[in-house]
Amino acid sequence: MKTISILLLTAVCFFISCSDDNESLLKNDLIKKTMAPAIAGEKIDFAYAIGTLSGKLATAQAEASIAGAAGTGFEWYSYYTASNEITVDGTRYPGGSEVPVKSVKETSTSGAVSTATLEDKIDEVYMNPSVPHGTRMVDLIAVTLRYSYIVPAEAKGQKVSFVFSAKSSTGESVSYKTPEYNVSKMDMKRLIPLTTANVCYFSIENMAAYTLAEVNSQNLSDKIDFIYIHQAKLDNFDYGHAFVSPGTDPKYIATPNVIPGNWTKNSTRMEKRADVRDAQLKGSIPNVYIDDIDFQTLQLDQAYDFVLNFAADEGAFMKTANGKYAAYVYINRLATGTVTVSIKRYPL
Amino acid sequence: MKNSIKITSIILLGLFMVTCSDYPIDDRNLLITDKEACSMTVFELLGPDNRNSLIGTAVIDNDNNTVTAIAKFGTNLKHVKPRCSVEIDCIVTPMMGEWVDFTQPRQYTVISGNRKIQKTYTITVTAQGE
Repeated sequence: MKTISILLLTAVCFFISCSDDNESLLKNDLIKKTMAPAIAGEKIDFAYAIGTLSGKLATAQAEASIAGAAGTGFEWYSYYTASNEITVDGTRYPGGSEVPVKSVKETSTSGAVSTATLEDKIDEVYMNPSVPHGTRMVDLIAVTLRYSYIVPAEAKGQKVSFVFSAKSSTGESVSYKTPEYNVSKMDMKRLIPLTTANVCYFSIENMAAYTLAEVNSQNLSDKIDFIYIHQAKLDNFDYGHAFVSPGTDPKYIATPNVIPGNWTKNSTRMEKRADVRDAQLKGSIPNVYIDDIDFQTLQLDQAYDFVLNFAADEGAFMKTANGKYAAYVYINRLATGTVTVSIKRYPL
Repeated sequence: MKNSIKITSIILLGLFMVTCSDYPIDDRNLLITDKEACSMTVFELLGPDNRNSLIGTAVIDNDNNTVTAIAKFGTNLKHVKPRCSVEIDCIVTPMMGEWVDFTQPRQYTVISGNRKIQKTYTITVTAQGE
């Protein structure tokens, strides 16, 4: 009898605690859209969906555990997918593309907290795709908001999490807490042009390319990790687009005169990769990413200090001679005497 | 009906036992067959970019059991990964596909499918310009 009473009591407690959630008329859900590693200066995009069965939506808020950099906050627009080609305010949207509709009246970001005050009404097409765009406005009772977090430099190597919340016009509130996301220690710089004619000296520490005059005038020779050379053949052997270190054996340097004798002769270990097409460096699919762990586990002890015959979409893992940085240098494009590279750099 | 199920089961079991008992497996879980052919047919050397580092095709001399190949200018022979094709059911020891130093000739043994014939190849790779 005692056992039955305990079981009944447990069941009642269970129903009471569960019914609280089920009876809430304001619901929310969240998708983290960004799959790429969180690198300082890059975005983490979220889609925050809220809907109410009572009253209208009033406000939304996102609170980050580490305040985002400038640009963090909610967008003013939500989006629906055009079933056929349409033109809105002079802009043509092909079928299948996203069409913006204004869903937010006001946004603000102060410190770690971003808020959005929602519009009272929204274009009906957002709720009912069978209605043509611009037909009429209806109460805003469900919406998916877009929130972008710009990773701040001070978050490098830490974890960041978010609490999203919303309120309806009836005073109800709801929230969603994300798990913690790792913020990378990497730095990244895209689309740096190198030319054999002029700018061909590259510093991994500075993530920048220099001319000979710049290296000399700024006394940067100890920071030069590789030099870009392009020559079809060397001693009748294929040479092509090449990176050599200042300290590379001269027999592998097609134009030895590019390295003045009085420079620091850094020997930068490097190894070519043909199939590592990082989407952040490439700027498009596939969704393959170099992350911190790739640099943490990078072994270049057996590597040479030069790489020859680069093709577009190839790249090279490197370690600076002073052991301060590991890097991946990706070849975005190349032409005679010129390459455009992008770099991910990791402090060791 | 019951009888035909019994008979079919017995026949299938018999066939299974006959088929499997013909070919035992070795310590790598590979079938030991009755094939006597024993030779290397293709040899390649992959660099860290997972591409073949050799110029042209390697020369395989099955009479003298040697393989000679030339690697591209600038190939780091201290850090390469050999791979080869062999006659059907043969195995190679030590296993290829591991990072090795090829600055000196290396020996690999091809063993026939019946594991009764062995050929030890001496593989020599020279990089252009070395």
